[in-house]
Amino acid sequence: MTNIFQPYDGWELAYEAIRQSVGLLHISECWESIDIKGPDTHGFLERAATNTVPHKKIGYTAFCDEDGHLLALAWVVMHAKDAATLYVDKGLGGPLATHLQQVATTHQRDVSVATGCPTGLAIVGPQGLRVIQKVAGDDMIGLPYLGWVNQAIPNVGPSLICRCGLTGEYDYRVLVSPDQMAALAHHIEQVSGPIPTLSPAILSLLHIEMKSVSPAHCPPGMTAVNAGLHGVIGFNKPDFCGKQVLTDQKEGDRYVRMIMLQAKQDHPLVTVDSPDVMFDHQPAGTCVGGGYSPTIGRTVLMAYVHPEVAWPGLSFSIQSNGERIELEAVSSPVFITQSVGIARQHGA
Amino acid sequence: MTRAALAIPETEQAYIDLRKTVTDTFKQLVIEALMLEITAHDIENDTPLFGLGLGLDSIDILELVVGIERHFGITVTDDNMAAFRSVNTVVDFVLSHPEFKGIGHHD
Repeated sequence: MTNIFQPYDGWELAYEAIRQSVGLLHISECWESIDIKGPDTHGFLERAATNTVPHKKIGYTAFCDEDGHLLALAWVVMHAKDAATLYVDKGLGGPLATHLQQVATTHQRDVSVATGCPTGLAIVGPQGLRVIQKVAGDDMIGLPYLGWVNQAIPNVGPSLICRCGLTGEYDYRVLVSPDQMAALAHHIEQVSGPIPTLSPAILSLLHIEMKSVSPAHCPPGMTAVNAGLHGVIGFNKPDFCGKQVLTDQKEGDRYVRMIMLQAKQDHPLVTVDSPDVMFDHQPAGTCVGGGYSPTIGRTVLMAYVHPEVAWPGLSFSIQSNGERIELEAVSSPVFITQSVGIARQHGA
Repeated sequence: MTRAALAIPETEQAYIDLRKTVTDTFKQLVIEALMLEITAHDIENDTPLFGLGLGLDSIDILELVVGIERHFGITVTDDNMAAFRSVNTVVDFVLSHPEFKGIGHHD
């Protein structure tokens, strides 16, 4: 499994929009949703999710089986004590819903689980804050990262606005009912001027640059700890699916560790002959994704390598079109986005 | 991928040992300075210090700056704040700092 970003027509403009300005993404093209309802919704999610599920903020969590294998990563919005919605990458909604139904049955939880297709637009990029203020009001400056709010938008109607995302940029997701979509798109254009609508294909490159792991970057059977997802595992929680295995791995001998590799020379890499990553002429790991990063002017790769050599500063190599590409392990994130700079200025 | 031990050249091993020591020291500093109820094992080296990661704020960073100056014998200025992105980027900064002479090699 090696997801090397494949350039497509217009990808440079899409990249520039999100890193330098702002772009729109159709939420229905990027994510699926799962609605959880019932009096035991919060308790059920605490049992099923690796991370704590907050009531007033968006939760970000992994879902694993009892062996700690990663099934999905999800944003969680607790609408009320008895209702929540999970947002997961396209294609993962069905399998995760099946798993959650099994957990509910096994642990006799009084909840219903139903998949859905969310509709709305994501406003992504350093100018995202300026746009969302025009769309939904100046108060949006106070919406923190992982904040959400039910908001009536003029000329559109009720909406759920979530600030989340893994690109390192402002990412405001405006969720509306399907019959409000046209009105939302029209309203955004009216108040902000034309904003390009982008293909979700660009997201994979943006995520790789931020070393944002997704299940697509995990070989089958990889656990959340070996995937380096410590930040979304609440090890102090009383219990959750896979806790024993994940805790043992965290404190024991890790099989692999994820690192970011950067090509030492300017070499736009679009294929690799083999995912094998070499250290000092020895197989040391597996490349799982990569792409050419315009911001740093180098190809960056994500790889799982032997933990003894998973340190920034060490040299590795990979084969591409019969040529040996020299790589250096680097610290992540590799750069600070404009959005982060703007957020610090605003204290947002 | 096998879990068999790799043959690591001496120079690289010395670098790894130093980097590991600085990393572990900094993680402990984060836990103690911020009174976090976690262990060093809970912090992945590339975990962002802000946002989704450890969720630190600018006041927390000031606490860390004091600790870094004391433990590593280096001076941190406002111009160095870009280094405070993750554990690994802070360790990069410490290791490349001209005043850094090694753990415990300062007044």
